[in-house]
Amino acid sequence: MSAGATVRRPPAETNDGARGSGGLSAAWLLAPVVWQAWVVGVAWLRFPRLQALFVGLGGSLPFLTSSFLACYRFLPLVPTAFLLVSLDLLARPRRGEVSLARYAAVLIASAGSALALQIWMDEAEIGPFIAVLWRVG
Amino acid sequence: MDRRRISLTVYLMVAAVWQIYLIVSAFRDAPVLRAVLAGLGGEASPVSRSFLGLYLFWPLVPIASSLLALAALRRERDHPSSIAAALILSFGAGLVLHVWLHLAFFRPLSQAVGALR
Repeated sequence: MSAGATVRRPPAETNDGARGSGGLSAAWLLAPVVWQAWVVGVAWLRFPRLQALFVGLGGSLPFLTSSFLACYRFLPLVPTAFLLVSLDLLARPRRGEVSLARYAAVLIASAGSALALQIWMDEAEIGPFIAVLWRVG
Repeated sequence: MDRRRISLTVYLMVAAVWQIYLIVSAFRDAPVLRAVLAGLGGEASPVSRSFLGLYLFWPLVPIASSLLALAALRRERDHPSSIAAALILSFGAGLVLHVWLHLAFFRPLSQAVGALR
């Protein structure tokens, strides 16, 4: 075998430990995508109304709010990208090309992005209210 | 380390970070809420009052759920259901803190901002 050749692993190693349940692996990878999609859906529902309210409050908006307002229309790209990457990864074990490092990297990026989106949206939502109250009081 | 264990570790860490963020938010914004409620007069909603009464104890939540998660990870092979319980408790606790914080804040803040406008 040449040094650069792909090593084919037995199915027990490429799936979830000794259980070998690919469905569980799909659930682990797709759950953060669902969380991302939920955050994006909430943002699309709430922020058009909040944007009008924030304009009415006057003053300059906090950075996290203004950046979120500028970006939230493009946020559906995040779950879409992670869905594609996750599906690609889930299709690979059948061809014996998966590595634990790659799986971990995708999962950390996906779950971390879901959390980052959630925190960004929360801060964007509450920031202007807190700012106006500090300004007044 | 197999995929399942990596997934569990990542999920439990994400849940812990989420809880810590919510606690930092609570400690940062609670004085504002207290001032708003004092300024508005009248009686605050039970959610806001319970939040102001209890948020100082919130740091116990990530400590307890982290200890539970560590114990579950250690006993995972013997008791696979314990890890499911740890995951549900960690994310459930995060969700409860999140909803509590939002409910406690948004009604009084909306009232205060409405009064200012």
